[in-house]
Amino acid sequence: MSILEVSNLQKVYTTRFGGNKVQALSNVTFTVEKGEYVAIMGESGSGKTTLLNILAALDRPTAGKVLLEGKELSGIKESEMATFRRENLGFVFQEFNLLDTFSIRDNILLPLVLNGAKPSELEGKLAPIAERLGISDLLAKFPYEVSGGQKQRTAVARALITDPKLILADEPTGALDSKSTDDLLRVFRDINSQGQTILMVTHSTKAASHASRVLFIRDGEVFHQIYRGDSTNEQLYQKISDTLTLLTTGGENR
Amino acid sequence: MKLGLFFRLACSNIKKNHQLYVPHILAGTGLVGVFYVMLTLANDERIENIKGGYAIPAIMGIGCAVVAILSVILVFFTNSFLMKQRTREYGMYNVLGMEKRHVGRIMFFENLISTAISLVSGVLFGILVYKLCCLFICKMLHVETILGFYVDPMCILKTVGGFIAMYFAAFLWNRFRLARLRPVELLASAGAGEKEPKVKWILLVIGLATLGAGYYIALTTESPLKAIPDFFKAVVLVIIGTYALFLAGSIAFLKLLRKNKGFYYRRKNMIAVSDLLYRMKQNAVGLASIAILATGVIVMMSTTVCLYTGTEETIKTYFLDGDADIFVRTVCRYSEEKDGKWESHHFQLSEEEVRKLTEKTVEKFGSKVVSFKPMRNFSDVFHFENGKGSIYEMHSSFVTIPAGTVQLIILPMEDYNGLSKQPVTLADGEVGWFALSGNSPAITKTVPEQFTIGGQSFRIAKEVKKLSLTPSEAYTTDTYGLVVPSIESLEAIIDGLDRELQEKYNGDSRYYLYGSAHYTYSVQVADAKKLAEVDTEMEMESTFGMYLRDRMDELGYNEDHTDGYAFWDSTWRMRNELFAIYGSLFFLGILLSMVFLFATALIIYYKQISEGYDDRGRFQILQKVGMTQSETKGTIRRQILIVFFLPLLTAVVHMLVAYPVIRKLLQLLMMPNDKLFLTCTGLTIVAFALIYMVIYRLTARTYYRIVR
Repeated sequence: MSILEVSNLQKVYTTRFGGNKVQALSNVTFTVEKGEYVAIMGESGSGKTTLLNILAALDRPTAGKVLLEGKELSGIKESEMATFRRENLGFVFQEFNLLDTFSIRDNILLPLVLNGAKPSELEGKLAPIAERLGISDLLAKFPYEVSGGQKQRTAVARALITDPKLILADEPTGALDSKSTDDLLRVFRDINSQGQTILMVTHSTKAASHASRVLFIRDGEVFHQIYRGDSTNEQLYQKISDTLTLLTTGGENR
Repeated sequence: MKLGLFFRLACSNIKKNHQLYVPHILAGTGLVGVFYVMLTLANDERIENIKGGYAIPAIMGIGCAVVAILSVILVFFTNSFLMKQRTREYGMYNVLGMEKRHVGRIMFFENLISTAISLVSGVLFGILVYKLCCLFICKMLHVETILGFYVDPMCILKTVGGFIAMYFAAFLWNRFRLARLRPVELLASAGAGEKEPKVKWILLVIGLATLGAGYYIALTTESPLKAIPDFFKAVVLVIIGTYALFLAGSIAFLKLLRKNKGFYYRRKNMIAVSDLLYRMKQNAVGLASIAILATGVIVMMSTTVCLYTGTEETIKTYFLDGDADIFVRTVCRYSEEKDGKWESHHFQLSEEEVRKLTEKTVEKFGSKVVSFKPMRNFSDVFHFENGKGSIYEMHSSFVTIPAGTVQLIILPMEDYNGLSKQPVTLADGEVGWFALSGNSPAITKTVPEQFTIGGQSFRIAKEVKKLSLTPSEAYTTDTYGLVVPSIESLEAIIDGLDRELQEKYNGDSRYYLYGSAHYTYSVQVADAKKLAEVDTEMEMESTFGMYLRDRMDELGYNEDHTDGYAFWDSTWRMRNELFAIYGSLFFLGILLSMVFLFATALIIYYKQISEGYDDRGRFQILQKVGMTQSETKGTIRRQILIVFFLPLLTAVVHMLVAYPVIRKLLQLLMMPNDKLFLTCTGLTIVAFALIYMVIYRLTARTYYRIVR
């Protein structure tokens, strides 16, 4: 059963005085099955971020539909949107977006607390996740005291703690060094293997090569997609590179 | 590069940063203006020469000092804030290839421009306000308005010079900071998170101790005399305590809240508590300053308004609840040196003689004496030990007054009965008593039931109805009226006390019962209003003195030795004096409150800006993590309100604790009406809260503009 259905998504930005119209997304259609790990690739300006914002319900499409477990996002009232996002979606950002004023523990617990969880339940949920992400020792520390990789794992823990249906990751490795990138990708693989659906937008071929499917976006459309099938990470990496070369050197004819 | 370029850059920088510079310049304008006004008031002879204006220069001199100190603090505060906000910009110039001396020149021009604007507009503002002040003072002192604009070049010069020195020092400080600036550090430091605030335990203990001690002193001071030194001790302690507790106590408290998991991990509390922790770290000093300034405004305004509006009431207390128009007090004494020793001679004029002199004086000014009642009394501070009361000699007002010390106004039964609406009868050796201030305990708490005073034995027989009397000195301790059976027993007491003093000091006549051995007569005249109009120059006293001296000459006292002392006080004379002093105090209160409000507004405004920039990032993250915009706004608004009203709340609590001490201080100034003071305090707090709210509203707009 598909967890996310995106059909004929269109987004047109209009400048303030209604002069120029910029088509960020012209026609995007794809589905994500439960338990899938999908990477979306594309160049700057290809509409990746717009797509992610719409999926995250931070932005509304001009036309088309987004269905999360059969529920249409545009049908949700503005007032319920934040709750909906908190309960169904987990976010991981390039720049971590941790709050300086919170300890690692509190950063992770924040979505739960916002959902109104009982203080007594918190520790029980936190411990296994922190354990899995290898940050159990850091919980009392503050973001400025830990490394970038650790910050990003904290952010992942924060995304996971509400048991979201879908994790949306926006360039999660963008601000990490190569070792931290490897660590994080391993974490993603790990949580995905336990059934967590992940949708990741990325520039990085390496990051994408860990996914089970890679979508390529160009000029606001899904241009191509690659399934992992039985390929290893290296083989998938090669396929992605080839596709990217094709994408950049023209490739008018698919 | 040419100077013109630097100048243009500086101009455009100020324009670009108007959000920072407009309040900086406004604050400068306000401070320069108010300082100029005070300095001119302190030097303007026209003001000094108007009726009742004599107190203004001295009081304004004090005001000048306060404003000067506050100006230094504020100029450096706004300067360091500006510098902090603009460091990145200066660093950027440096990175883009300007040398530091070039950046320094831009900085110089920026300071030059803002200083010049502040000074010019400040002086103009000052000249305008000065005109308003003159009108206000004339209105307040009930005199004819002084017309025309008055400009004192000397004062302008002094004001401008002082402020230029201040701003130049601030500029030098900036230049020094610039020299030490490393642009690389600057760019890197922007992304680094701020460290978690630590609880400073020592400071916390100091804060608790000082605030506790200050409050304790304020709440336990019993005698009004001790209220003066105690009040200042308490003020200093409370200021220290406020700063320390804002710095350390707030953080300790919030951390305690954070430790309480059941409280902390709730939607409403979690973000608020941890954000507040950081807010307090950054703003503790500013908030404590606001709290102190607010307390200052409330204390100043409530007391000065109370004194000013209660003047008539104070006069009534002096004049037998309004039953008298004039008091005449006489002491006739002369001292002469004989064989290297001083001898003093007392001489009391008889009641009849004083009455004649008084009638003569009043009639000369065109009125008539309606009633002339003796109110002969002797008042002093006594110390009781083993049932014996002796005169307590105070060597300094900063000593602790021992238990058993009390101020007594001793008067004979016949005079009491002449003045009181409820006459009493006392047998020989019996006394009656009444408390002069409403909150004094029964006299038997201090004075034993059987006691001797000046060699005479008495027994405290009964409490009698209060008579509104004034002791020769202000209330120093609990003060009681003591009614003795006759004028003879009063005279016997005075003689006895005099003898005791003579024995104690081996007859050295420099220690005599000075001042307090006078007799007072209360006089009612036919038309007090008319006399008040006639006696504008306060000539009645000197006229009476003249008659008195003539009379002494007749009696054969050598003019060189005669120290005939007549003290003449009338309701109108007192009214003029009180209006002069309380009016100027009231006026000073208004001016200083204005400056304090400037300071408060400025600190709040800058706080809002700096918090706005900090909160913007937090605001965005919270929304990404899943809070709605209205939720985020709600939590931030709540925090700001807490931070904002904490100083106000502190000020109100300070004021409530200070209330009893201030009330005692007001008693010293013969302001007996507690209800009036309560009203003034309440109104001041309400008015201040309203103004504070307006300041908040105005500055919050800037904040929301930044956050959005």
